[in-house]
This record gives sequence, structure tokens and C-alpha cells, in this order.
Amino acid sequence: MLESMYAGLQQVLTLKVMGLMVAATFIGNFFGAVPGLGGNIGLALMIPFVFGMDPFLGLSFLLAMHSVVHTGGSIPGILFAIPGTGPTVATIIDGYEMTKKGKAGQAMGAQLAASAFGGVVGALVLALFIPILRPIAMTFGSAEVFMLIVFGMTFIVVISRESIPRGFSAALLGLLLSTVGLGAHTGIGRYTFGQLWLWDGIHIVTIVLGVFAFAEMIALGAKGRKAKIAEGEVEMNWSQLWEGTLAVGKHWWLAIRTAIIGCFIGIIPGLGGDAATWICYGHAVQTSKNNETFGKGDIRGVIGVETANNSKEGGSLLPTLVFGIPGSSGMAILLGAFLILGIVPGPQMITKHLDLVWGMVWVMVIANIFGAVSLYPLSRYMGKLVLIRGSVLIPAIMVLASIGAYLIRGFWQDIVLALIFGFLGYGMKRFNYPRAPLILGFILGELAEDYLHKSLGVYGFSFLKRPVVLILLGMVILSLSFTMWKSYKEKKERRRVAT
Amino acid sequence: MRKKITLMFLIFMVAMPLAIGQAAEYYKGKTMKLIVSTKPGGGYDLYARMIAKYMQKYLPGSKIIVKNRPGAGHIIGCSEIFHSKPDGLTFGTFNRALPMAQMAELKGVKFDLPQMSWLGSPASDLYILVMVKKFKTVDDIRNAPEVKLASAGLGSQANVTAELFKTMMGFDHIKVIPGYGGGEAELAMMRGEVDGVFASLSSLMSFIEEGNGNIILFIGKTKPQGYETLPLLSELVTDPNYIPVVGFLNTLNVLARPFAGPPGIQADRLKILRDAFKKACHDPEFLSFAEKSGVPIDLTEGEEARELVSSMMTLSPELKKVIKDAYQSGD
Repeated sequence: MLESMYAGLQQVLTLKVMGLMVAATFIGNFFGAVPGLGGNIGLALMIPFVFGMDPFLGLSFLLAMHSVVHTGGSIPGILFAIPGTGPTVATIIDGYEMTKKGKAGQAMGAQLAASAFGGVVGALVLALFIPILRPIAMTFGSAEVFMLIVFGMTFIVVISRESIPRGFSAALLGLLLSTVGLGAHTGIGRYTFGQLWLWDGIHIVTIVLGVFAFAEMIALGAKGRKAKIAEGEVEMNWSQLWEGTLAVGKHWWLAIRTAIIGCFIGIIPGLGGDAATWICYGHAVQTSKNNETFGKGDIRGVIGVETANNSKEGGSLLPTLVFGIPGSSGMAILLGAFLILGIVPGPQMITKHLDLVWGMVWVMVIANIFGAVSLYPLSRYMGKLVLIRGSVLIPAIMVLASIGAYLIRGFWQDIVLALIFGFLGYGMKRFNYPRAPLILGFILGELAEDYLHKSLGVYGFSFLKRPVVLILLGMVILSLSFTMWKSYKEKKERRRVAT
Repeated sequence: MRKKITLMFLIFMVAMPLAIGQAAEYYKGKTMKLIVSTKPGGGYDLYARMIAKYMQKYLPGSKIIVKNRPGAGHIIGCSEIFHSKPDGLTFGTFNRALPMAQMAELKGVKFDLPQMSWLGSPASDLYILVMVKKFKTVDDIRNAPEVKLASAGLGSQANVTAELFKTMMGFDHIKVIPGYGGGEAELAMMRGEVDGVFASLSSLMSFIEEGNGNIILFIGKTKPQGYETLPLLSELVTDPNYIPVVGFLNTLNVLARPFAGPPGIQADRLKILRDAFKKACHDPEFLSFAEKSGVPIDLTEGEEARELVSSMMTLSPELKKVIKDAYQSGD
């Protein structure tokens, strides 16, 4: 083990590999940060480029690029509520609120440090989880994953503590939106109105661009010509970034937990990155003390999401490497690239090529650290953009968000859709309906439907009797009762303070 | 009279290369568009990018831009190719299972595949039924009380093939469960959640080699080397009425990566495109790429592809209905 660890490191620490990794992290950050591009497109475009390269060189390039996509992806989310990639959506909830309070620097510092930390933990967990991969992958079948999604849904209650009825109606709207499209299990078009572009449903980034980016710009415009995103006097320098970075150290226990949860969800194929980040956000809210500041600019909300964001990549690489079975579309592309480079994933990776696995671990570790560090100087300047007054900033953001909505699938109709969601989001903001449950309902709704259909198809209703399903059901009940008990206690406390 | 014919023949012989020469001239300095009907990443996209790279090499002075047009299971992309200007500057690639969608008269299908200007397919594939270890032959399936097959989604090639298999063999105890995308079906088999899946041989090769499952049958015209003892679907389906359907399924996999342009591309330009396509598929660099990605190159040229597709689409109305029903049956 130690031997292959060292051999792997030696492979990485050459000038050629390091140089290529530097280039790869820049490209990865770029593809993440431009809304609508995303890592998969980056990978697909770069595969012809690595064809014919030395296998390890090509592998390091692609893997380094893939590892840092969500690091760059969160920056436009924090600054302008524009999600760079799907899994960075959850960062907006608290990250953008911090920006509005003039704490963009802290948010970005925390985001970068948490991303790097999560990525490193994810890579190391990847190596350590190898022996228990098989039991995990074999335990979590359709029925178990369905229950895990139901568990994730209990977080709707957690994140809408302030007003359960409002949170629920937002979540229900999200569930409803998730049904749009051609059902994979029924083949029937739902709310497609005879439009082909609606067959595949609505993309998460389109909704978030509307409900957050457009809505926030409408709200900003409504405040007047001179209004800025960040209120009051704002300073933007190294000390804010540093403060945010230190916050990750302060909340190290939360960071470790969310990194491991993210990695774990990454291992289970099919759940995907969007679900991973939201489950970690819910976990952060549920387990934190004084959690009433979540959703209003709590740095723990940024840390919880960002660690998971990067650590899940380590997790999802695991089944790809060991079984040769990709857990996500990004991993499917990467798997194809591995084959072209002459690297054949499968159990022999662990038995014969352990040094190669460790080489990948080191690539992920170094790329994650480098990807974050290289963004520090840049984010200092990017952060100043929020000080531009609305009359100049709003049109620019609207254009950027529209481009993003178009790029994501190449339908102009998505721009119109995002705009409609913009007014919906503005209305929700005006009348105090939380927007996070809407997104959570949307993400988990589609997954829940798919896995419920499969569970019923395979086991019928007896899927509820499976042991792990029962354990997860217990967790669902515990999670709900814990939240209700906590909110009851808080209410009592508030009443006591009031009187 | 005879002189006249000879003269005409001579003029034709001289003019034809001239016309082609002109057409070759036509591609100089032109930007061409290759429409891929799916998102970047994955087999279809990768093939398109490689074809673009190497066709450019054999169309001197031209530039081929790859444009992804995903949506509605490749139907949007294929419609866009079909309705693009037939100036020989636009062509594209789409899912091999689209003949099924056209056959099922799916809403939104606004193209007629046999009419298109076919360039060919660089690869052919075989479709297989893979089952978990306890199933070794078709008889094991026949005698099992219940058999669960995974599929990607309703209307996917795996799903329609499984439903057709069920109908043609009279296996009412087969249950097709959609929703297993990507590698999920393989993991579900390893867990024992489902018993098998229809898939292309290339995508499940490593899964089988590692001893996770048995190949039960092949769908295709010939068996690959080393598998001579296993049956072809055409050897199993006994009902003579269904033989054209089996032929339909076989052809589907011959054109594993279809490339075609809109109907009505001028003959001389189409010839140049087909030649460049063929040369690209024989390019040594292209071949080495294909070998490494595990899909043997097996070129079907343009004219042959057109004939195959045309013959495929001539099923009787009764059999079309069989395919239509298979397309629509869900749980």
C-alpha cells in the first residue's frame, strides 16, 4: 500500500505532468465558471486532444480538469446567483446572501478552501474506500436509493423551518416541475404541450437562472438605478478571503462530515451531484447550532455544500475504476477516454495497477489544491464586480444568464422559460416563499419517481421490507422528529425570551 | 446515331470527372457543419468528432464544425439534419434506433430516413442478451417462473428489443423494467436486482469478460469468432411471420453510427462526401483510435447504407404495428 502510494506520487511529480495539470485546472475552472458549459462538455472537447498522448499524461490532464470544474463553477453563483454547473446551485442559497451583505470575499474564501478540502478528502477516501466498495455498491439497490431520496426529502422540512406551509408549497411546485417531460416509465408526455424541446423536461440550471439570477436582478432593478448588489460600504481585499478560508478550519468537523457524505453519495451510481450537494446542505442546517441564519448568508451553508461538491468526484470515480461501470455522465465520458488511452478499468486496477490508482488520487489532490489556490487572486478582482451599480450591472448579468440558459441545451425557448421563472422567483421573494425547497423538490422529485418505479417493478410493495430500507425508513422518521423537536424547543425558547 | 452515342459517351466521360473536380473545388474554403443529435460526450459524439477531423483531411481546404443538437432522443437533431439546406455542407449523425421511432410513427418524427443522403456508418455492432450467471440458455429463460430485464427507458433500443423478444418468443413471463441508464443495469445485475439486459456487445464486453454474466443470444447477421455455439435471434424465432422483424433488428446494428445528410444533395457533391467519409474511415490514425476505444471499424458505405435503410422500412403494416406496440408498452 505505502509502496504504491509512493510510486503513484513519483509518477505525478514530474515537470510534464505538473505542467499539464496546471493547464488543465485553468481549463476546468473556466468550463465550470461559464454557465451552461460545464465539465462534461469540457471533457468531451478535450478527448481528441489527449488522443495519442502518453496514457498517464492524458489521464492526469483529464482528471485534473474534471476535478476542479465545481471549484470555478461556484464563483458566479456566489457573486451573481448564476450557477456555473448544476451541483453548484446549492451554494447560491447562502453564498449570494453573503454577497448581498458585503461578505463576498468571505464567501469566496470559504468556497475555495472548502472545495480544495473536499476534493482532497474525496481523493483520499477514494483510496481508503476501495476495500468496502463492493459491499456499498451491492447494498444500495433501487429500493435503498429510493429510501435515501426520501431521507433527502425530509430536508425540505429542515430548510423551511420558518414557515412550513410556505416551504411545502414551494417544494410541491418543484415536484410538479420535475414531472415535465416524457416519463421514462410511461412514455407519456406530461406538460409538454406538443413541444419537442420539453420532452427531456426542464434543466435545473434553467430554473435556477430564473428563480435566482433573473429574480435577483429584477429585485435589484426595482430598488432604483443606483442600487448595488452589496449594500453599504464594502471592502474587498485579501483579509476577507483569508477570513473565509479560516472559517473552514473553524468548522472543520462539519467540513469533514459533508466531504465524506458527498463522497459516499458519489459512490452510489445514479443519485448524482445535484442530490449530493443538497443532502449535505440539509445535513449542515439540521446539525448546526443556531441554524436560523441559514439561507440568510451563513458561511456554514457555503462550506457544507462546497466540500461535498468536490469530494463526490472522488466517490464517483471509484465504481468507474473498479467495476468499469460509470456512476455519472461525466464518468462515462472519462471511462471512454481511459479506454482510448489504453487504461482498462476493472478489478485488476486494484490487484495489478494500484500505483496507477494512487497516481490518480495524487492528481486529484494536487489539482484540487492548485485549482483553488489559483483562483484566489482572480476572485479578489471578480469580487469587485458586485460594487458596480445596478444600471450597469443588471443588463450585463441578464445577458450572461440568457447565454447560460441557451448554452445548456441549445434551445432559445429556455431563455424565455428562465425569464418566466425569473418573475416567479421575484414573486416568491416578495411574498416570503423560500426558494430553496423549490429546487430541492425539483431535484429529488425526478429521482424519487424513477427509483420508486424501479423498486415497485422489481420487488412490488415488498421492497419496503428490505432490511436496509427499514433502517433508512427509521432514519427518515428520526430526522423528521429531531427537526420537529428542535423547532418546538426553539419556539418555546423564543417565547420565553419574549416574555 | 452510333456516332452520336459515342460522342455523348465521350462527353459524359470527360464531363463527369470535370464536374467532380468542380465539386471538389466547391469544398475549398467552405465551412461545413456536422450535427450531432446528442450532448457532447459519449459514443455518437466521439465518432462525430473523429469523423470531422479526418474527413477534413480528405476535403482539402474545408473546415468541419461539430454542432451538438441534443433533445427528444435524437429526434430533434435528425429533424434538423433532414430539413437543412441540401447544399452538401451539412450532414450529421444520430441514434441507430431512429428507424424504430419512425416505424412507431412517434409524434415529432418529421423525417423519412430512406430519403436522406447517406454517407454510411463507420462501425457495426452486435446486440446481445446478457443474463446473470444462473441463466445459460434460452431454455433457462423459458423455464424460469419470472424474468426481469432492465432497460434504459421506454422507447430506447434496449426496451423495444426486449419487448419484441418477449412478443416473438411468446415469453409472457418476462418483465421489462425501464430506468436503468448508463452502467446502472450492470450493477443491478451484479446485485441480483434484475436478471438481464439487452445491450450492444461493445458496451458490455468488459462486464462479460470479468465473468459477471453469460451471453444468451446475438442479434445480428453473423456470430463473432469464439461464440459459434451461441444462437442468433434469427435461429430462435420460429414463427415465420416475425422473420422480417428479426431482419429489421439485425440491420439496426449494422449501421451502428449512422451518418447522413438532408435529401437531395447534388450527386457529384454527395460522391465527394462519400469518398471523403470512406477515406476517413480507412485512415490509419482513425483506425488506431477505433481499436483503442474497443469498437472495431466496420465500414458500411453510403449507397449500401441507403439500401439497407430502405429495405428496413418496408415492413408490412401488421409488423409495423408489432414494433409500434413494443415501443409504447410500459408498466
